[in-house]
Amino acid sequence: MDNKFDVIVIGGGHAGVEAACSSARTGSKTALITHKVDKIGEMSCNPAIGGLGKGHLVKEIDALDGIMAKATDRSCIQFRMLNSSRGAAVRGPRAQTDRILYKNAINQLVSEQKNLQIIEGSVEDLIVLNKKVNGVILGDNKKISSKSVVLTTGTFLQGLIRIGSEKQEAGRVGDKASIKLAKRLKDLKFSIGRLKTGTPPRLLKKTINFNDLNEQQPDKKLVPFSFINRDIHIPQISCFITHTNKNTHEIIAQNLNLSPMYSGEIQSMGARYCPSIEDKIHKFKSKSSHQIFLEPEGLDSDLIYPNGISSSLPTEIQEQFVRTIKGLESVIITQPAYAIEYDFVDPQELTHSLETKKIKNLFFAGQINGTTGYEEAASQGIIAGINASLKTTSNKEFIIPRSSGYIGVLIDDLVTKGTKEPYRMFTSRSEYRLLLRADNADLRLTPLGIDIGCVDIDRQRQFEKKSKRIKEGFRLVKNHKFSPDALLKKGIKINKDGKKRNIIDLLSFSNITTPKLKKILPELSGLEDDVIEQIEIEAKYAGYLDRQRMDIQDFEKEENLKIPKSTNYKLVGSLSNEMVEKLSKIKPPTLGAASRISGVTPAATIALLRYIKKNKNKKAA
Amino acid sequence: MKASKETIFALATQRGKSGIAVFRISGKGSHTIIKSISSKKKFKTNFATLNNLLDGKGVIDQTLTTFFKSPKSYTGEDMVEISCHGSISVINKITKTLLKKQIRLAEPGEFTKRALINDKLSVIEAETINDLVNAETENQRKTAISNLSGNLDKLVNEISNKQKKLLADIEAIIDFADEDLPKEIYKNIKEQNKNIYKQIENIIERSALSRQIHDGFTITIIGKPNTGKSSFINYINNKEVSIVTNIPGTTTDLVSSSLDIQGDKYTFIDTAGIRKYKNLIEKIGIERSLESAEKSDLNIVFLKNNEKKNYSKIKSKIFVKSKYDTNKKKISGVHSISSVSGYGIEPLIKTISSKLKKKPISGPVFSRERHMESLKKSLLLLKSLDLKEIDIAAENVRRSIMYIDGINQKFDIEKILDIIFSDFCIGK
Ligand SMILES: Cc1cc2nc3c(=O)[nH]c(=O)nc-3n(C[C@H](O)[C@H](O)[C@H](O)COP(=O)(O)OP(=O)(O)OC[C@H]3O[C@@H](n4cnc5c(N)ncnc54)[C@H](O)[C@@H]3O)c2cc1C
Ligand SMILES: Nc1nc2c(ncn2[C@@H]2O[C@H](COP(=O)(O)OP(=O)(O)O)[C@@H](O)[C@H]2O)c(=O)[nH]1
Repeated sequence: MDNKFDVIVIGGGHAGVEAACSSARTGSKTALITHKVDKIGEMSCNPAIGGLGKGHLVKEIDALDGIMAKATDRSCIQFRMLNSSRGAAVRGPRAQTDRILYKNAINQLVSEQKNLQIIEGSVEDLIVLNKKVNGVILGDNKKISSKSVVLTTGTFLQGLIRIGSEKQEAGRVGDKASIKLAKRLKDLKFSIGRLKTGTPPRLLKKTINFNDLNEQQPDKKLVPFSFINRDIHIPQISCFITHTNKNTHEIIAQNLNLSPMYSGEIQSMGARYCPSIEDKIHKFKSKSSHQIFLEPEGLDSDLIYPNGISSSLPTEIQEQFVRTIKGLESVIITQPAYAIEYDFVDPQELTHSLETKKIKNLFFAGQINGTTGYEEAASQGIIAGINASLKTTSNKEFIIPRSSGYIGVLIDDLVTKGTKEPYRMFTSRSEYRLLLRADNADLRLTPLGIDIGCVDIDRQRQFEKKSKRIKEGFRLVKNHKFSPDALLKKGIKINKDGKKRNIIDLLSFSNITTPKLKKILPELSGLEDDVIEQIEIEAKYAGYLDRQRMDIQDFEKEENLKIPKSTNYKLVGSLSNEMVEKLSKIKPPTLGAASRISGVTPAATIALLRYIKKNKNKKAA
Repeated sequence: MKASKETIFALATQRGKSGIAVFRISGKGSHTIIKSISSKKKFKTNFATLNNLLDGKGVIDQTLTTFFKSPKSYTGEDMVEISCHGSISVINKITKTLLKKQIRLAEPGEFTKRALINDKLSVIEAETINDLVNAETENQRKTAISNLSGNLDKLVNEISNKQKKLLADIEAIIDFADEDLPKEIYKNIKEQNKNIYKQIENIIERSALSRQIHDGFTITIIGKPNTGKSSFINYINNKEVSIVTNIPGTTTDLVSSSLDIQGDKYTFIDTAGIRKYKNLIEKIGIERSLESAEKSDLNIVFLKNNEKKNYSKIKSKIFVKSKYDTNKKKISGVHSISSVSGYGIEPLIKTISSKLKKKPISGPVFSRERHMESLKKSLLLLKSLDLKEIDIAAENVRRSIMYIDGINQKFDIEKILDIIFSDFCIGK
């Protein structure tokens, strides 16, 4: 085994594998060190990838040539496009995945990756010299050196599992926690907080009666997650829906005090959008029933994942309340639900490249930064991997602006605002939602990826062809204009205002569709579906997209106003002590980032702007 | 606590002979500087202390001096207020003495600017202070004061919070498409939206009315030459009409003159003046007067005899016949006045103001163009809300919030998420 690398990635979870692969793709000799090789790509919780907001992230990871989308396409057992009846900007592709197939796919993709070695072991310490990381020390005291290190240890730092009053140190069920490493981070003076999450029980499929339950079928049209795939070839199966009822609620309400969350034992913050069943019943008393999705864990799996009833009640109580639910009357729980508490590092400790401000060449990605979800973890992984690699050879940084991608929104939110609860992506977090769509993730980000060197040559070629097709398609539809009279001859009626319109203008009329327009511009038939799709979306959102593009110009103005790292905020004047402290800690790289920090008022932003400009002039003089 | 480089001072009262004058000093050095020219060396904050100001040779004046400690002061900085005697010589001497110290005269509006920067004032409040300083009439002053007490801030926040709840509901439909959201959510959204835009409409209407408080009413005076128009204007400008006061600083060039009548501003435009004093050809003069008549809130038509029908095209009007002192014949529907004896003038003015004055306006109003623009843009977006296209609806509501929030602050998505999570049981 080598003991010298450019980049070491610690942790083989969703952040870790993307980080390791992207670092290797960007050209660095990379090691992925993780506890158990056979757990690489393990889905700790829900066997599903994508959804609203999260689906966007998966597409963006793919646009940068990441592996998550490819693995999803190879394991998707139920595809659904959420919000399919709504506008393209808010559609979210979601896959129910086969846990085993997913893990296998990830393993295969990781092992095929050039420049990447996998090492089984537990990292117990970081080698830090002069505030710069130089490598890691394993459990057996072996030292491995590297120029950069990416830490992606998920829920493992001081992980503590709770079921009722029982507690157990663990990173997730069946895996030991990382205690020493957590302590080391504290010693390095990172600001550390505690969060909690939970998972529902697993149910034995053959003990469930599906007969009277509502079936949720897969979509007819399967859309692959990866831009390089044309199809999904896995058989598609259904999920089922059932509901809690009065009896369920009664049992839970009566035993609330046995849940460590309510007995006051757990104080750490859980995510509000991912409440335990205890929370749902306690906080929304007026709701008499809650929906539960019964999701298969795989094509051949004998387990069912009951999405909607995560809990930390004692096992017996879980059994009692589950059996009040329709279809689950005689169900057997194979693994009880549990809550887990873990350490996370305040992401305000990081720069936009995910490097820590305290220790050079050390990067953090994934749940360690206070996020939750595979997609959120993988998004940070790919960015941290690229930057860890860049750091070894140049002083370039790879940062996706908020105006270009959800990944940019995610990281910018984390490093400028921090987080108090596990952070999850939503489409509403993006102020440019109409422009940042799942369908155009490659058009937005692949060029950036090609520039920085993290995109394989095959994908690059394929992308260049597609983007050429799209350019030509747009040229075609913009250049040909038709008067109302000309349209009428082909049976298309619009107001006779004498105005000549191009295809995009025409498509924005609700009664005009692409097939109709093929009559007046037969060349349209020659365009491929992905080109037509982009044209139709542009037409549908016409004025709105232009307005958002204008907003982006404004945004970029503020983003282009860099705040020098050396800025002494005490000298800015007219800032309160609290504000000075905040700004000195976060060191926002731009005026825009400064204005997004919570508590920074418009007046303070103006003062800062004045100060930067004044200093610039001084320097210039 | 607040860092401010320079210490500034200004006379806060009008220069000129008056009983007392007030100096304000603000900035880091304010306390030490005032102590260095005081007989007293200790000051309790927020208490007026009897104190002699000294200039090295002796006592300048006996004053009441109040120290304020940052951030509890108007500007948010350390401040001192000195009430001294109002004579010009005292004022000059204090100014001179201060200028020898590390301190400079404040620029116009600088105290308010500092207050704004130190977050002691919202943008609306700062604008209101400007309005207050520039208030010409009693009613303008009253509006400004009521806005300063935070009424507008409250109103903007109220609308903005309602809009945020509306957006939260729409975003919940988008981002939680898979959850069992309440069935009534669409109906609720429509109701909320209607509620909000009705409120905004109402405010716009009310504000437009009260705009006249701000801009006042315009009254055009028309009539044949020599019917006594200029004399009438002259009379109300110069003679004592008890309910009329001059507004200092407004030009009374006989073309237009502004008067404060019972607290409101009235601007009289004398079309005769246009012709006579601007030396324009008669025709243009007449065209101008018609144009002016068209735009004004009310027209006063001076009659020679009984040529009412000549003016049938003029919309809102009152007929007047002047020179009552020489010809006591009254015509029905025509006000008789005399600019010599003053006969009928006060009743005429009362008629004018009762014609123009609308019902008293209740509730806070927006008086600035910037605010009105924001309200109107926001209204337009909300009124055209279409939930069938939910993504575009969300975009429109978002933008409508930006307009309202832009009146005072910034848009923050975290607030929307907070609302979603507290209102809906979401998550699996
Ligand atoms: C119980 C539970 C419930 C969850 N519930 C939800 C949910 O409801 N919704 C949701 O969106 N997400 C949920 N998640 C979160 C989701 O699983 C994570 O967000 C995601 O897996 C995080 O990815 P990661 O790469 O950061 O970490 P992980 O996937 O946790 O991977 C961490 C990896 O690091 C390795 N490692 C740790 N320490 C060391 C060390 N010292 N040396 C070597 N290797 C190390 C581990 O072995 C592991 O392979 C849940 C997770 C858990 C555990
Ligand atoms: N006796 C008397 N003379 C008046 C009165 N008003 C105006 N006049 C005279 O009428 C003439 C024309 O007045 P003026 O105000 O210039 O009329 P205008 O052309 O309508 O503006 C002047 O000689 C005035 O002195 C009035 O109320 N009584």
